[in-house]
Amino acid sequence: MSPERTRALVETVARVLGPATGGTAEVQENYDHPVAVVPAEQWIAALTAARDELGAIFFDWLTGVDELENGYTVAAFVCAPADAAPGGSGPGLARGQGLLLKTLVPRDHAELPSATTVYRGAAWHERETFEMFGIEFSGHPDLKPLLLPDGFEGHPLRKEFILASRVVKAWPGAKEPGESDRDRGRASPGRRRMLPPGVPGDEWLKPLPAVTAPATPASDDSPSAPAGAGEGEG
Amino acid sequence: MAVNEGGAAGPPKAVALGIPRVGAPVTALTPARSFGTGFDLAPKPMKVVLNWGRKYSLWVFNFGLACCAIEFIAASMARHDFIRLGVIPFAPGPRQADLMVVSGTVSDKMAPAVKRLYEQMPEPKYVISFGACANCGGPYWDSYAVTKGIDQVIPVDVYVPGCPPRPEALLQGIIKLQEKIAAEGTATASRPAGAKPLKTRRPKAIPAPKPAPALPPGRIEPPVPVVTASVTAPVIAPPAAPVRPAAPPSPAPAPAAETTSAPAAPMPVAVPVPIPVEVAPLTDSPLTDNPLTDTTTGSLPVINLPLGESASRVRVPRRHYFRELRRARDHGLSLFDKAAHDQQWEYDDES
Repeated sequence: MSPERTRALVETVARVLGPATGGTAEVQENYDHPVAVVPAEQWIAALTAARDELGAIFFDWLTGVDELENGYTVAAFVCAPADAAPGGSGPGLARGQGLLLKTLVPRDHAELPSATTVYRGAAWHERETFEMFGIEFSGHPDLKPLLLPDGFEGHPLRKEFILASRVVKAWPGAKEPGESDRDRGRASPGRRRMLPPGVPGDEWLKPLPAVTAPATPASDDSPSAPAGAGEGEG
Repeated sequence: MAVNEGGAAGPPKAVALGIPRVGAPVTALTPARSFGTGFDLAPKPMKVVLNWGRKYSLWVFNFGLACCAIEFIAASMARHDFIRLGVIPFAPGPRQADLMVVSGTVSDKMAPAVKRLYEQMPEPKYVISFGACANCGGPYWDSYAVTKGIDQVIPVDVYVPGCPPRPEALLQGIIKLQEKIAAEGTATASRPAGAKPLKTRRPKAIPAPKPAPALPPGRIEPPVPVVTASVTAPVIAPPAAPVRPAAPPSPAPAPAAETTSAPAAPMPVAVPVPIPVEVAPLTDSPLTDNPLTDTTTGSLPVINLPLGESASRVRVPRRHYFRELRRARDHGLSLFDKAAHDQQWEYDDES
């Protein structure tokens, strides 16, 4: 798509979504595609305007992103199908053009109105986002886990989710270039060591009580204070 | 740090699936395979025949879950063609299958289905774990959703490594499985150590020896009367020593009493008593030598009793066997001729 057409499309989307969301939508261009960031209160209004006024009647996907301190981003991609009637009434998306809608929900209160009132096909996507990120979609007809097995605890796509296998086996290398597992002790204490999501930090890497137990008979004189402390915290 | 709720502090009520429990007792899944009482009591040649038939008619059930299943399908097609190894694709379902090949990534949600379909298979059943994911989790070993090896769910007979393995690797795994099947039912394979034996075998009583040959004239009889007992009873000698002179006259009564009472007393079953069938080579027999030399040294002659030859089993003559074969063949040919003659009218009408 030429830059002129992309710019025209972004302007069209901004012209439609601006009044629909009360002027809160921020529309920009990202890799030849329009991206609209709306507040969580205007989520349903933006989706409805995209469907009714822009002609994006095809719901492609919906998912979440863990933004750490900022909360969770919920993103949905809607587009006009390739077999839509050409040249609709008024401004809108051409055939095959899509629109990415994003909103941000707070971390402590992750809740968003359900998009199933606008797009029925969003039901399973929201169920998956619910189980993976723990975001509540109010108004969803049947919000229950979709893919994870029964009895699964936690939301595995959150960055704070610790992978149990990584607890058992220590992270072998380093995340950033230039780091190495050899300079674990030599690194400057002020610098925070970077670890990938899912890998437990140093607070998880305490020795197990079973490991510290054989060390106590070797030193008979000293009391078994470290082993007792490890058991108490574990 | 808030990690998956309830998992960090205190004993969790429900352990999340797929998480290896550190410190939990390892319960090994050993395949307790049942063949039926008939197989267990069958003699070993019959077991060999049954195993031979079983290992070359493995109806396979492909539990294909990922890209390894494509390699499995490639192994079943014309180029690699595991039908030539006796693996028959594909069983209509697990109830008709003998072998299950778990090929691919097993997730925790899929693992109960794998176990359920494994339990539907009839005994005896075999499992090949095909690929790194089915073996140990593979590249998804730290995933929250992938089972760390299918052997946590069902017992596995053969592991095939690779990511994905070549079809030749599956053929090798099938051959390994067939070797395992061929060894089943033998004492080393199926009977664990310390198990009660199927049959209480007693050592056979030593048959009564032939009457001692007449001593050559001129032989000086030994002065001790125990000598007659030692002649009639077999002389026990270790197989390593070719010729063991019998006991001297003074301590002779004690071993003589042992040798005479040993066959009569019931022997314990478990203790392997070396029955002295082969005492000494025939070349060392003193009967071939001059018996007078023994008298000079004062030792008693050791008599080799041909026990093995006397107890040789009576064999059915071979010609009976082939005669029966020929008779069966002629009978079959006559049936064939009769059937062909009966249906000849159909071809007569066409021509």
